[in-house]
Amino acid sequence: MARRRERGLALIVVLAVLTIITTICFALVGLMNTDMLHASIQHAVARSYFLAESGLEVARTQLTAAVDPRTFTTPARGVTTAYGGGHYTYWVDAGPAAGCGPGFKTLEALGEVPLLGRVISSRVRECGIAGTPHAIALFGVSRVEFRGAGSRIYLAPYGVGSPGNGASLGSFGEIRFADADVRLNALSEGGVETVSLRDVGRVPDYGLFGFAERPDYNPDPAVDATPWVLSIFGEIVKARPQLGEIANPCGTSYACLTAPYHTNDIEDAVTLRSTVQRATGSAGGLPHVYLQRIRKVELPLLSLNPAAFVTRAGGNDANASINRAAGLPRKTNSIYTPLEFYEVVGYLGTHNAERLRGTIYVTGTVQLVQDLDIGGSDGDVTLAVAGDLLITEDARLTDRHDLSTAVGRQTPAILVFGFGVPTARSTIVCHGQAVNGSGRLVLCGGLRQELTVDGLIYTADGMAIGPGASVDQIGAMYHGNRGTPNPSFISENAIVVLRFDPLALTVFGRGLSILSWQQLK
Amino acid sequence: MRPRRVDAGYAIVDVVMGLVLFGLVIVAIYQIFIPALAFSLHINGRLAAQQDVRLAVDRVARQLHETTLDFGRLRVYSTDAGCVGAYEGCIGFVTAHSACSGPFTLLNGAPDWQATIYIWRDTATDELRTRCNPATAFPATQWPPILAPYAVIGRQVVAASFTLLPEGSPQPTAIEMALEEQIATGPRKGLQSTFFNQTVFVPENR
Repeated sequence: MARRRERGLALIVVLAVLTIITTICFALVGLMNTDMLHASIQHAVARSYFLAESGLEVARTQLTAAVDPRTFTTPARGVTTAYGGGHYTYWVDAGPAAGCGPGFKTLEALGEVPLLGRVISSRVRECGIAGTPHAIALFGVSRVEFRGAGSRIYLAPYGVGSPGNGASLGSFGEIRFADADVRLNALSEGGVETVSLRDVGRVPDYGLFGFAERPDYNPDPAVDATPWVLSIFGEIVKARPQLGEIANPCGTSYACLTAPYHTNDIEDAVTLRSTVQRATGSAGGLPHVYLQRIRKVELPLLSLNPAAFVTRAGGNDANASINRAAGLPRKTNSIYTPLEFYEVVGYLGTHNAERLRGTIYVTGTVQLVQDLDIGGSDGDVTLAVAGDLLITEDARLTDRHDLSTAVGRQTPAILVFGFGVPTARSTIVCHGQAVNGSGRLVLCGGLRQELTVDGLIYTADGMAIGPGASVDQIGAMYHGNRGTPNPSFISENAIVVLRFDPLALTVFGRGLSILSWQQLK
Repeated sequence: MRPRRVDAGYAIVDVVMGLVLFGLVIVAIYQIFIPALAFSLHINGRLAAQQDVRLAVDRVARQLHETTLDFGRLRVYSTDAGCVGAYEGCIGFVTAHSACSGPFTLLNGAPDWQATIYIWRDTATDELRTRCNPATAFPATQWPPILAPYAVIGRQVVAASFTLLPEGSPQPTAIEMALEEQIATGPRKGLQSTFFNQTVFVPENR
């Protein structure tokens, strides 16, 4: 009886032990599951990020390969592709892809990875300009040269926020600082210096870059001024064409950078600034060339087709009334011979309220001897010239656009194409500039001379700015070379303020240049 | 009634014996489980440390991706630049997010730099700290800048370093972040007690 009543005691013990062991096991399994879940989420987050990056890369590729990258868009639902156990969706100027501003391309991509009934996602966005493979403010196919102690060149941003976004300078051939006292982005080095701008009047030059006060300089070229100004400037871009080579005096495959007493290629910004300083022969001299860094890149050669602008001018009847008033009653389009154009210029000189509109094409070389405001403040005029464009001493040319619109910012300002076959014999004009209809823009100089321009200045065979001239431009410059010894850009004792607007480069219609990247999620 | 009197006391002895045996069994089980539990705790510590490092990396990943390697906009501070003693693994870089966490600010499609973010390890507390300075978009040239107020983004961090890659290049293209975290449960013989995470970031903005 007693034994029978004791039955089950061991079972209780066993059950208790089993309960404890089971509890511990469940706890351990639970912990492991939690850790594995965390690790899986981390893995999914990383995968979704790289899927989004893949989507962005595909969007870039599609946009670059488009016939006209400027007008390329995706459907509002985006383009979705399954990849790597998840999928990505990208948009270009459609759906959620917006926010980069009028005229700029917005590329957005979403990477999504399913995990345990949920979706882990990452979202990234880029802003860019379509229609140009680079965002260089002043580019010369052959030599870009700065001469004279009186030279003041500013490659500034268009629109100033916090200090930064200075513009770059590049060439396929050579960038040459021919004199020791040439000043590039030298912001009030020795004392406050001012520049005159069409929209804000006379301002301290450091204001061009967003500084409220004059930077504090150290004469040692290896020591940056305070605040650290070098970081806000652009780069020197030593380029080489993707196809073929362009010879330079240094014998390097990329463009070379030279300065007085230093004809070999200069490799870095500090050496450049030291070289320029040593060349002044003054230990207390300041390094007058301020750039962030020097970079080597491969770029495509760009060019514009004059035929497209002939067509545009041929269809531009907005100037018919001015033509009639100027003594050209039968001319309804905007294609002019040089003599016809001079008639119009003469008329505009005596009728200040009237301005031209749209694309104007002149079939020969133009020599401006009087001031000309070609389109007022919003004419969005493109002046295209088949030969050379010469602006005689002290003459002023103004070609402003409506910069409140993307169209106004994208419209080219001055295009100098040159003749298909330039004349065999050159004429020497201004300060020794040789012209033969190859497509040169020459400002002869003079203290009164001003070129005020919005948009792109493009020349087939280079631009020369003579002593005393001032250039106030919002836009960009691209200067070619037609195998002549002419430099693509030369400025001698002139003041050039180029506020870089990347939208001015979209006219080339090729490629994509990315300006910013951000992670939205 | 008599038989019952004979059996009286058996039950309590049985219970006491049962409890003793149960105790012995429990102690035996506990002895068996001690290493298992210790190992489990260690594993949890390791996972926690690993998770901590991952979280710290995640917190700075987006900021580093969105910054720039432009000259003077990102600085890694060497011991010569003042990152020594109380500080280790010091870096300063710009952000286009207003006040570091607001909207990403654009100007003509390009980043409009708004503030400077500093990250460093405080050697006294083994904390990885971050500081946002919305007053300037230029990292200081010398360490330490003003570092208060700050936020803690990692604990038990026993080593931290930032390196620009390629090393020694005047034009770096990436940043390597290396963190070493000690597990909270302390070292255990024969088992790894620190965690090392090395990640390379490529800033996407120029």
